[in-house]
Amino acid sequence: MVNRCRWATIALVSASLMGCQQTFRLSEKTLALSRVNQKIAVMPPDVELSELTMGGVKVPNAVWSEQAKTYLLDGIRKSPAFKNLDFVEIQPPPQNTPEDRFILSVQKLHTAVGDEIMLHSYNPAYTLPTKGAKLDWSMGPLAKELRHRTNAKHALFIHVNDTYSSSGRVAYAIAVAIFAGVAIPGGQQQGFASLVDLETGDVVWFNNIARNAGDLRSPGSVQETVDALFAGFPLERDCKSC
Amino acid sequence: MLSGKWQFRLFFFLAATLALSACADDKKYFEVGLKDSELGKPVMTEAQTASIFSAPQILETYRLENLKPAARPSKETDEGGYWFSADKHEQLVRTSGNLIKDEKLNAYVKGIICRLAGPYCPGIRLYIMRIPQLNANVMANGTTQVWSGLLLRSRDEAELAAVLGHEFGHYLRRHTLQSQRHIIEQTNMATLYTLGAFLGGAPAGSVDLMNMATNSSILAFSRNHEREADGYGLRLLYENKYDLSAPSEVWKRAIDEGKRAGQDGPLNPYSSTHPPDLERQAELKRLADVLSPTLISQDKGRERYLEHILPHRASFLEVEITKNPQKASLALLDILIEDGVRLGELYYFKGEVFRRSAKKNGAEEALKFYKKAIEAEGAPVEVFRSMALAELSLQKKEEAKRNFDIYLQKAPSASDAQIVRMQMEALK
Repeated sequence: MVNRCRWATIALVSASLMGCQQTFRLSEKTLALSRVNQKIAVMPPDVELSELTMGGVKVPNAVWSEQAKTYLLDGIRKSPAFKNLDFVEIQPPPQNTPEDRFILSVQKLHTAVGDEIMLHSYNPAYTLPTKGAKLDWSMGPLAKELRHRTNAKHALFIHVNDTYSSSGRVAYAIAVAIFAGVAIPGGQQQGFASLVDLETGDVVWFNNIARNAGDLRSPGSVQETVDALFAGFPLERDCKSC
Repeated sequence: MLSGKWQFRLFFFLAATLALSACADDKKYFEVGLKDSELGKPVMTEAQTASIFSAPQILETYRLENLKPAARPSKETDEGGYWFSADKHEQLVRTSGNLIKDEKLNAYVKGIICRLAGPYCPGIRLYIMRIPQLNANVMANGTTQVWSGLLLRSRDEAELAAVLGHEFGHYLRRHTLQSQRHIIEQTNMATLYTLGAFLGGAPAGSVDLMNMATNSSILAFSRNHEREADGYGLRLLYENKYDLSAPSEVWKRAIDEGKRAGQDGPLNPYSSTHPPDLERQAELKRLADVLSPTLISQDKGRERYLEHILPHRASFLEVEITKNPQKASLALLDILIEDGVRLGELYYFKGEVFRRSAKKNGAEEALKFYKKAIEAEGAPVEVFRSMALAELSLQKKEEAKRNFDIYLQKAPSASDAQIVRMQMEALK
């Protein structure tokens, strides 16, 4: 029994340590623009929260997901790291208008670029010889179109999928840990955020989270996720002009 | 270590807690929002479906009253969650590069949808996609995709309606919700059993057996949904006086196409999401044969259909031969040639398949079909450019020059006219 518990502890500790590595990347172009006084467009967060049933099926939860979007935006507004930055929140346009399709296309492109960054900059098996772990990715000319429409110099994108164990799943995990000494995977928070220079389309800062922690279901606990998601965020306001 | 008695008590305590939490999970999914009884008759098994013999029995089994699509469900329910997910997916669909926006074509297909779905038409949003496979799908929130491969393979309006009717069967019976709930129930049970088996010291193989049983139950449920959707699809055709042989015709040709393309593999009836194609085709034919005598006029709508589809057929074919394996493209083209509509276009594409292939005699084969295309009706002007290119690769410069010339005469403002002129210069 003691031996089993040791393994369970090792599993738990290593799972929690996974969140402690440096997860963000900065582009070489970031250095030149660490102090800004221009607008930053905050794109509508792309967030989905689901519940994990005892048998491991994901059930998307509409209420949690929509609340989480609001909580995340609140968290950004309140975060001391972003104090004084000039954020413009982009509201989702009315459905199926040209504006709606444009914003969705930009977000779709961001998810595609973000997925590539995740694959090629974080997964050693897929590292590209020409890039390594260097943040050298661009969203291309569509970014400039967003600059024209929003009049912002940068845009902030957020993409998060989060799952939470149901009570049945939790009870099952406890029982299995006690009797079998095996850790059953519970809810996971996965996602990435990026800052894009809208003049060039370059992704200048990128961070990912992949952890068994974090809770976006209540406003009280969101700040912790905001801090994790925006680790290493490079911009601060240039106060000569404040 | 705990004494045997205490271990026993702890085991029972945990087992009870687990069972209770599992029930709580289930209860939440089954009692909030939609009641199961609202879905009407439960999904029927294969044996029950096979016991339907007379027309009144079919009409009674697949009653229109059993069709109940969801109004937008409350966000608090599991169904609300699936709609949320479907809404997100719809965002990807409506910004897709494969979306065909042609208004006339969209209005035509939407018209067929509204004829079939009647009062539920306003809840359905149509997206015609340039995807080279015979398929259509309807998501829980009414997002409906019709793929170009389906429009290309249907011979008349009734056949398109047959596939759409089947998909609306899924939608109007809320199969997404039903199957998700079934999966949750089954996997929860399997999970409890696994733990119980482990604690009870059951041999490891019994857990595998349980997992297999769970999977096969989920898949059987899915196959029953397919049969049910087939039945309601046929009912919708009946209601709208479409040709009832259409569903089995679609299947017959799909099976034939698969065979010619060399894609028919053995299908395991216990591990499939869908029943075997042949079985579905036979069952649909059986039901149609029983129902047909009770329907006086049956509409195929072939002329109407061709009028709307033919203007787009070349662009649909282009994506088929670009994305599908050669053998599959040839199988499709041969079946279309048997139908005999605008043969020049079909021979041209057959030539294209050969010209673009890596086969040694590809260009020679291609030229044979281009010649047939020119002799037949409806060959596109591009056939001359393709002939020239094939001839170039065979070093027949004079013939190539002549055909490039014909191409430019017939299509002087073609987007590639400049390139063709340069190629002709190089030949001099």
